[in-house]
Amino acid sequence: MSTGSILRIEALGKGFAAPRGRVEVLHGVDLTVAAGEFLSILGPSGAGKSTLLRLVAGLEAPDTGRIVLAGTTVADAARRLNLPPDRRGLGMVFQSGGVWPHMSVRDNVSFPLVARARALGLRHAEIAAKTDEALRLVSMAALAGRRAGELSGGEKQRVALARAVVAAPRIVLLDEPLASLDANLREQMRGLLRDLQDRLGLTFVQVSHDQIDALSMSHRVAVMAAGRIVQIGRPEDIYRRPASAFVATFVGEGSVVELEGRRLLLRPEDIGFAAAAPTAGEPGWIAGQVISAAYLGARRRLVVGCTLGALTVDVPAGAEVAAGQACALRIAPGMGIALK
Amino acid sequence: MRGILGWRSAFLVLLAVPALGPVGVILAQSFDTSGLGEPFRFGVGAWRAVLGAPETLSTFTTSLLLTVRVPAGLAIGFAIAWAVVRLRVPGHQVFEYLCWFAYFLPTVPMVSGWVLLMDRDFGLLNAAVAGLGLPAPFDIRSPGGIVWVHLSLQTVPLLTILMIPALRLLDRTPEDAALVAGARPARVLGRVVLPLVAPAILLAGLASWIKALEAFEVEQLLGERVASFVVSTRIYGMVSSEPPRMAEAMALSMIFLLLLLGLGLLYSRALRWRGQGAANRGEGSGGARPSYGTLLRRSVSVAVGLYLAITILLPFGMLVMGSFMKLFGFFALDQVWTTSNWSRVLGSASFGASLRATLTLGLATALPGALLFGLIAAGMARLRGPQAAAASVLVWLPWAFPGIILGVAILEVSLTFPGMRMLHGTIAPLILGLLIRDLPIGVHVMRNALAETDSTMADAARISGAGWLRTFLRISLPLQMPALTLVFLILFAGAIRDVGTILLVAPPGFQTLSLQTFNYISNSQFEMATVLGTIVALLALAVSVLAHLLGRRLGSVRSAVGTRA
Amino acid sequence: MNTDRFGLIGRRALGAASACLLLLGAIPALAWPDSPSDEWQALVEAATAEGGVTVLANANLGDDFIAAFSADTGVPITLSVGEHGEGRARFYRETETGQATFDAFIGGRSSYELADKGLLTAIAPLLILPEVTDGANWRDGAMPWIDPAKTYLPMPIGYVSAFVLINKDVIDPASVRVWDDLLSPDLAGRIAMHDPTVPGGTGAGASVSLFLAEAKGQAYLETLYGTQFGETTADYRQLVDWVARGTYPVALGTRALDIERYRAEGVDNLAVLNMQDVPGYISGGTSIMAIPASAPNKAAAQVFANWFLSRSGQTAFARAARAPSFRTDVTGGDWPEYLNPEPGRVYINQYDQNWAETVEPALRTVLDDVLSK
Repeated sequence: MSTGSILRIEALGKGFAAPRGRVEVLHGVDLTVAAGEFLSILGPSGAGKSTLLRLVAGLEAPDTGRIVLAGTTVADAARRLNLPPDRRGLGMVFQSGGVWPHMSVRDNVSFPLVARARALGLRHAEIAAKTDEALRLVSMAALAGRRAGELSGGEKQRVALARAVVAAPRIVLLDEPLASLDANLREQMRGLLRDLQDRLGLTFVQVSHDQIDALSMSHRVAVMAAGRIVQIGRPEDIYRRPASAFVATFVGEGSVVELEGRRLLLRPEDIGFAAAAPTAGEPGWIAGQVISAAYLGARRRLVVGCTLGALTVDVPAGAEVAAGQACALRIAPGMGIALK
Repeated sequence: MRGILGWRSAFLVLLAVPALGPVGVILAQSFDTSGLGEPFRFGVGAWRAVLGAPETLSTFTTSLLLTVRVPAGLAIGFAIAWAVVRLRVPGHQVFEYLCWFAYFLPTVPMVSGWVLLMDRDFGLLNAAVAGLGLPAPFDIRSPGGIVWVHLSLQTVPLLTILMIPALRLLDRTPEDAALVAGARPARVLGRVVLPLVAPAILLAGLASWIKALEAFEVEQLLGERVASFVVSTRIYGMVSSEPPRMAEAMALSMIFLLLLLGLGLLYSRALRWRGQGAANRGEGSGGARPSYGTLLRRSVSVAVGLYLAITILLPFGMLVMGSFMKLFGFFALDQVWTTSNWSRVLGSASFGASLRATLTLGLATALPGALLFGLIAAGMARLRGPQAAAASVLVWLPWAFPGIILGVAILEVSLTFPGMRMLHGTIAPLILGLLIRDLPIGVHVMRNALAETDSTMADAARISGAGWLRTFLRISLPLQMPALTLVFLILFAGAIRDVGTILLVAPPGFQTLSLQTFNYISNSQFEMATVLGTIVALLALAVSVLAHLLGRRLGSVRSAVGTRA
Repeated sequence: MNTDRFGLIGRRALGAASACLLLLGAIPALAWPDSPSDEWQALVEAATAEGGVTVLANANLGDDFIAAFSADTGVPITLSVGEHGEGRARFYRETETGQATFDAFIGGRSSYELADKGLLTAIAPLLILPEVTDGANWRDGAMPWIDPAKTYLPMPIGYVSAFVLINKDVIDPASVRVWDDLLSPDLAGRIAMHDPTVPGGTGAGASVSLFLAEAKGQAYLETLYGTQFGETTADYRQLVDWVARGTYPVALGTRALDIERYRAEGVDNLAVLNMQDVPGYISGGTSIMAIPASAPNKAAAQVFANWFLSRSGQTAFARAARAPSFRTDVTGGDWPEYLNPEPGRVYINQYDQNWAETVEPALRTVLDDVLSK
């Protein structure tokens, strides 16, 4: 990842007309993306993530602010400038793929090269070679001649990805690309995206409401809520040092408690568990009772009632714990995330 | 940016020409009090004459009263659409096809089929009832007869066709939930299905009401015994006067248009409001309802089948039968039947010319028309805010033009506008009139098709570097091919059956089969008219088969490309 | 006006080719007219070079009329239906704006005002065939015109109208001999009439009513409309159908065309009666010819005008219209006898412009008054 910025968003604002009046979706968003970076924009539904992405893509025009792409202003509300999408040199993968069912896989992938052939000075042979290369990257070379409408969901997303990267775009935009895939496919696609980003060194900007997608693939994560970026940082910083209660509760699991005059967020993995009531006088342990126990495959998630309230605790999957069982919880000093 | 604004403005101006042009011409001519051959002279004499005539109010009242068929048609059409889509009764595909068939059938000759059945004096149904010693109950030339003809041949089929897509798109989950909760089918229909599609029903009803107000051909053929004419026939009477009372006809047309345009505005507003509301679309649309009992489905199938057989197949059969009668409606001859009508028609020099003219007009209208409407729909998809609202209104305004008024306006435009005079005497004014007439429905079909297609298809092309034109040609157009072909067929069928719009502007020697049929009927040559009507109906049969297959394919394409995210 | 029209280029090419062939003698000389003059030959060549003639006329003329013209003159002809309502509107508007797409209009008595305003071509000077201009070939010694100047609007056909149609199985023909017989209480509500309010104002219903207003007076008309008429209809054929079925055993305002069609198909209970006291008026039907001043093919229009008024043209037209011509040499056609004017009798000519402008307005007032009651 290089240090120069490839994308700069300044005071971006956008609203839409609605039956009951205008709705402002983005409020003065500022964001910088470095070249070669994988940035995820994470937030709940209605936070404005997709709107932000569509503004970067040029599919919408901003009401306020501007967008600078690779040093060129592509959108400026004050000057009523909004460069059309076909002139921004971007690639994009949509949630539904956006693959054209009436064209073959090869034609889908080669389309950006054909459309930009004159601008890029590409000949037919070069287009074919680049198309083949992109298909190999996503392991779809064997299905190059197949009509895209006949592909499965995962295959369509692969084709969409190949199409997005084939013309070496400045940025690849990903609009919830894994949302429509099942768990196994999502895992595969995550791996593919990471692999592609590493190999090609492209800049990826992803919009997602899924934390695992965002945290697992990104160099940085920007959390959005109600049209604003509320925190941006490395995944570990977002998870361990959330800037607000919203970020703390939106990203990851946790229980909010009052402890020693402070309001703390306790992650499930941070709470110690013992399957028996603490002995009298044993320091650091709190007596509790298991309210519910859910088997999650890799671990067991308990809700335990204690003097601090109902806390969420993770224990190994093999632990034999049942609802109603007496137990003890330990919160080590210094654990927990202080909430403002 | 300035270029884009200019493009949008130019687009709106181009849309405004067919929408507002005829209105402007009619308005201007309504104030012309000059005599024959004299230059334009402004005056309000025509308006005074029209507003002062007692017939004006009575014709408007009659026009309004005859629209009672619309709520009846809504109820029947909804029931048929529900049976076809949600119940999927046995034979549902045939029933849906019959509605398309009826839509494409030419109205004028089909009326003669009903005349053979329900004429007060010689109708077969009346004769059958009279044979039982009862008084003849039917009179096709009464207000009730006119309502029945419209209901059976136009109102119900059209409304059914309009409501089927809405029911097809309906998410099945609410229905399934109601059935699982123990509700009977009638309750599910009344409490769940009906409220969810109420906006679509009301919209279809409003569209049908507008068309009902401006109806002309059936009223002209059957309404002469009704005490008051309807507005459209009164306008025709003024145009046909000797000399023609054009200014009065325009003044009356203007009053009529203001009413219809107001309704058209309401309709387009309601369409936009509906587009902003919940689409009720979901994964589980359509599909069989095994929870609905077999007895219910079979009973409904029989009822729907009987209704469609009586209202569509029976008069069509009568039409064909009439073409073999020596004297139309006269069964008391020694020899009632003959094939000479067919040999006279098919052997006449004018038949071949009419057939060629029909096909020429159909193709010359449908081919460019389908592409043009596709382009207009694609252009409208790129508009936002007030421009989008204005475009929606402009596109729907021609829905309110009665064919006869449109024909008069086109004639006036081609005679008085310098740029158009060159085209007078060619078939260009005919094509223009037909395209204006079908602009609302054609663009509506294309807009729906575009809306149903995942918008990311076009977005992906734009982001991949394709300009607007490449995106339209490589992506939008191929994906919309089923819809485009459907629009082609609608335009083609409309062109081959139209009478009112092209009557005044058809160049000498250019006579379509429908015009020829109309002329035969005007000269009381019903025998020849039924022969031609049968031929046009058979053409319509072929077109309707294609349209029906495409309508179904549109659904499958929709599911292939996915609903909008 | 030299504009490009549907088929016009093709027709002109064909016309030019035909003219060349004619000049070269490749086309055999036509048998009509007898001994054509050089002037006529040149006119026909010019007409052929123009591409032919377009005529707006009644739909009933049919293929035989077209074939007769083509066989006699060799000039292509396009017959367009235009006599009915909307066709008249088009005739008026195109003539008025000087953009006629047709060369001749054959219809009812609709064109006085156009002639008065100079929007029509004077036909009289165009007539060059001796058989047309020779008064001996016409009843009453001259071809009838309906305009006072006898220049613009010839009326070559004339038949007796206002006959009474009865169903002789229901009504004894001997009981209906004079107009007052229609006022018999036995016929109260049993007479059907053509609708006098049909737009155009010159349909049979209106014409018969005006005739009766003039011949029998307002009181007679009021009784007819008040007690004797059962129903009116704008459909001519419906009237005949009613009588044939006995729904209304008597009808006024019927057309010979419809009556004879029913008879030809075997309906034998129809009787047509000319009243003996005042046998009716003369109608020109739809035979009035007008040529717009803006006719695109002037030579072709002139050829057509001459042919139309010739024996050959009138024979073809009379056959198609099933009505007698005023030409004395057009006889033996299959029009019914009851249409023939009685020799020596004077009939009201409702097509005459003088009558239409001086007598008709008062009669219309009477009719409007009767209908308003």
